[in-house]
Amino acid sequence: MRKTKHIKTKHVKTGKEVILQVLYILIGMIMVSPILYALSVSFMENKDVLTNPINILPPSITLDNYKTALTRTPLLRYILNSTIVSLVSTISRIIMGSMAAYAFAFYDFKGKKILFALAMATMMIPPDVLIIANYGTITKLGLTNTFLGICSIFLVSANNMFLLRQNFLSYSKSLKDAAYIDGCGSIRFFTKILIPTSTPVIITLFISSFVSVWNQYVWPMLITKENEMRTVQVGVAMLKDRESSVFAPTMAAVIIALIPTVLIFIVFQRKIVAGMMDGAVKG
Amino acid sequence: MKNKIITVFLAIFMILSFVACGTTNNTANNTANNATDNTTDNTNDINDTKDIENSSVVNLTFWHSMDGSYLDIVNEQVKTFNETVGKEKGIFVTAVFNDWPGTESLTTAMANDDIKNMPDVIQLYNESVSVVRNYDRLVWAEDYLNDASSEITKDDLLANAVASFAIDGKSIAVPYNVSALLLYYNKTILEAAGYSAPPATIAEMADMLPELTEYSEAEYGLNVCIQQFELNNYIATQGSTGSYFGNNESGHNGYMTALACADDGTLMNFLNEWKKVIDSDSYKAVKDSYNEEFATGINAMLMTSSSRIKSIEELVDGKFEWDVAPIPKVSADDIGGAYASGGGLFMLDRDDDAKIKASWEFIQYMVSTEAQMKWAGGTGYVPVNVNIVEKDEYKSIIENNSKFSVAYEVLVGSSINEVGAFCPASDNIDTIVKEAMVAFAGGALVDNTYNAIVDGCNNAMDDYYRVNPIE
Repeated sequence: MRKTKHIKTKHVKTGKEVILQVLYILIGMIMVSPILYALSVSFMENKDVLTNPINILPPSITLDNYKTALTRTPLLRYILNSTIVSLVSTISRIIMGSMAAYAFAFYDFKGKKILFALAMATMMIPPDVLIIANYGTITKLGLTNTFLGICSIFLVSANNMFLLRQNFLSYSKSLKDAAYIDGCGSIRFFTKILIPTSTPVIITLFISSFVSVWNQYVWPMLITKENEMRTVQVGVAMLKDRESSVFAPTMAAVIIALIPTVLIFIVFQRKIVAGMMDGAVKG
Repeated sequence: MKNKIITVFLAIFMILSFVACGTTNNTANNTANNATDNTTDNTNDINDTKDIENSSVVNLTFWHSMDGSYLDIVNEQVKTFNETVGKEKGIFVTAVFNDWPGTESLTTAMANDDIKNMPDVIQLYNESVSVVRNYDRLVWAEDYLNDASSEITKDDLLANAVASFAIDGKSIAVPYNVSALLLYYNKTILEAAGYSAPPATIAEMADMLPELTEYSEAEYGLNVCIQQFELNNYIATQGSTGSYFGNNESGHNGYMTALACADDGTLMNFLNEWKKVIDSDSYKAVKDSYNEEFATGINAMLMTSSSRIKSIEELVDGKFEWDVAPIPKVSADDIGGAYASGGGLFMLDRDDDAKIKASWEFIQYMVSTEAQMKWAGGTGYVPVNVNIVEKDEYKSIIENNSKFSVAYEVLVGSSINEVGAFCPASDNIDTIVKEAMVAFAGGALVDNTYNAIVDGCNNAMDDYYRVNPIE
């Protein structure tokens, strides 16, 4: 039997590809430069932050800003609070959004269009308009100073539901029919076929929802009256100084507050790529 | 690996769901061992170290908006109260931060009459008085200051500061962290330009500015963004006894419904003089980083609150000589000085007389010489208690750094007519003034600037009272 000889062809990078890669790296560096500068400022003494000429790197490195950030406010407690709120809210959003999207994508029922329109209409109401009404509702339920009170308005997102619905609509109806014929019920189809094949979208929504809830400031500030229940954005606000520009400790707090969101991204970014490579039974 | 990660996250989610469904986590601050909560809306955390046996302690909630290094001072004041007066009188105060101006949480609680989640004492600024002046649950400080058994009376406090928190002659609140608008000047640059003293009038300052940049590396002779605070000061300090920014004594004798400075000529006086500053071509009209730009010599002079003295001192760090002075007058015949700006302590009635009494005890401590001493040395805030000048510690602070006494002397020398305006729609008015003055610096005519400020502010107040009619 003749063996086929594999001839390795060396892919020679053309000049164009090299230029493109350099360009991508430069764009990436520009996009990440504010965070790198924040990191640099977090190690500067306050008098070295705004100087003429400006210091890109710290003339002398100090850890005092991190000490200030951690001692002036219970920042680690705030990070824990934010993590709890963000995780609970995000997971709830994914579950509620995917189930609602499944119904809107795969089922026909009376009032479907109206219900969908109503859900979408909620996206058009500015959140600030509802703050006082929501505050009244939450306080009457006795949920002030609780994690559930903070999470309450973040548990569902019409935006997430819409994006998942659009993703589910790309699936062929015959896929569900084939699964039904094979004895796969609705819930099993949802959990065993639909969700696993929608992993990249779900993880993308998870990351964006997590970051969005993590960055919330006004609602957690309003609904919590005790320092221990505050979230990390409130903690960062406590470090700034209204009478001066105290950037260094604030940047230290920002860097500390960034860690969980960066970790989330690192953990899940591979799933986004891996999910893209997964296939499904095509109808 | 994938299943493990999913399992871990689902487990965390389940645990967190139970946590999220839980009730208030009610741990107090470092001195929690001495306090129990006698309100019915809080539950005790299982790990709480409170002394449950001592159930006669009155728990107070104090909302403030002091951040950065000022947060440390407030926490120290509250902690000292809890460990001394509070311990003696059975009062425990928990300080809670609310971002400046501190009214967002309050207004949502007011709208829902949510007394459970209101503070007992709240720090509010001049600009926010309109929010609470008609609130039924506000407890005016007047009766308490006049009470014979009170440890603090109006005579113990800076007259100008008391007037800043008075309506119809009655104290609505007690001044707490008070400052004055001052001129910060780089002595080294002034001396290089041949000046041994800061300018006394705006006209003098306008003449000085080009020379300051000529004889130094400074880009600008003066940096100040004229907003409502600065303009109010320049109106209030005119005349022999002071003038009012708004009608009805700037809202201190009735409601402020229009600009008084439009009718009495003080606004036009100021704009005509300020034109000279703009024409010097050595004036920066926008606010970037006041402290840093002054500290690095970009600006030779700066006009801002005395509360920044400490921050600027740390930034300058001995690089050049500098000092503070009263702001230059509009006219040499004016009284000058400044009005007492800053925050006061307001009491709220949460249907608990014991809390109101305890709130007054707390406020008396916070304006005592002991508590106010912490502002004196640690910041540029002016101690509101006049008895502080007799204290050796204060004398020592002033001896080491005379800058800290300038704002105090300015306010002592100012008339009680020089007050901050209780502006309705203060944010809008601030924006209107700022935009008009920046446009003025950019070349707008005096008359156009005058009209922009007067019409804009009057319209803003009309709109405000249309939605919030005066009863």
